[in-house]
Amino acid sequence: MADDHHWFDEVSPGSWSMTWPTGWVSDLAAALTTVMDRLRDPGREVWIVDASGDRYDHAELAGVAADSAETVMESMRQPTLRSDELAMLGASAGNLSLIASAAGHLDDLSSGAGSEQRELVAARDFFDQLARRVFRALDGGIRQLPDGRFALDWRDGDRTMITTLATDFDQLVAGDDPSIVRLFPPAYGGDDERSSGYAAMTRDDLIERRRASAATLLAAIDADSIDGDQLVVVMRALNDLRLVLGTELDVSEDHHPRVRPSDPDAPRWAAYERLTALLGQVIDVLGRD
Amino acid sequence: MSAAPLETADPHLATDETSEVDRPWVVLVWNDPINLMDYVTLVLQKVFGYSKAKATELMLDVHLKGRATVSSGSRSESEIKVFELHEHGLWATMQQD
Repeated sequence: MADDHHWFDEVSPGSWSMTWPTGWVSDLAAALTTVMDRLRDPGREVWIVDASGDRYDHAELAGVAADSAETVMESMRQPTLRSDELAMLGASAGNLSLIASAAGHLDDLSSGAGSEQRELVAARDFFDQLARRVFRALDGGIRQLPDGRFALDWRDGDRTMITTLATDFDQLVAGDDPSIVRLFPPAYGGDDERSSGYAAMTRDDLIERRRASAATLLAAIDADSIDGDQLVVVMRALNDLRLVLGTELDVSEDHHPRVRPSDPDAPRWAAYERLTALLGQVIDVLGRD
Repeated sequence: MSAAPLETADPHLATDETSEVDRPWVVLVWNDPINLMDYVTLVLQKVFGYSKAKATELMLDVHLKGRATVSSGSRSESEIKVFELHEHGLWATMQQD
């Protein structure tokens, strides 16, 4: 069954080698054949309506599937992949998983699955696993070392993003930009006078602690390892950065961002999503006990 | 309810609870659209020493009802807790019960 060793190893910065499990190549061929054969039947239309309401018709999906299949096959032939090529492999696998699901109406199997549907389930799961493996590799992660300390194996892109945000934060947090409002709530509900008095006594302290946390985060992403107390500080600092970005982006309770490359806020949405992923990693590690 | 760890007290925080000893102060955490649910749970565990089950219950109250009372105590104890919650980025306020 599933082997737990890495499929993707970063052999040098931004360069990935791949190790496929036994039998994987023939499984890939079977999964591709299943999806492409199903799409070759124009009499049984396949379509997808995505979260933002855009409809992809059969011809478009057939084109996306062909491109994605080509990307997967091409990736297989390379000895190593760059990070952007690996990300493209993951996105292609994600496309094929979605298309397999749509082709078999796999979101509703309440009336049971026929043999074609079972093949499409296998194809969907195959590509889904490939996509998740890719993104997990690109995500990096947090490893607990034998001595109990933690190594942050975060990728260059994430570390660059954190460096930019945390450096800006040092100035931002001491000013009066509206994006920092969530970092300094009024202490006394419904009592402005007491809240002002409290803020006058505590705000400088809170600013200094936040700056120190951001500095710890900056040091941590370049350190070989950090201890558990430092990981808690890293968590707070990531959350501060996320609160500021979320405020700037006006995140609301039921907002599910769909980042389009043409959106001028796309880079900030992408950063917000990355912070969510990294913060989630820290929470998972610290919440384990 | 566990007592606040006084060694974390900030010396410049208010100490005038002697004039208002009659009613305890409560600390509230309010729902917000950005903080992650698991994060709120973990912060409540860390700041108050609550079990994961209790912290999760309080977090769900915050999330579903819009706010939850997370502790009660003297005014200065509550100010310290509010400070720690603010330091963790939670929207916390205090009021007299």
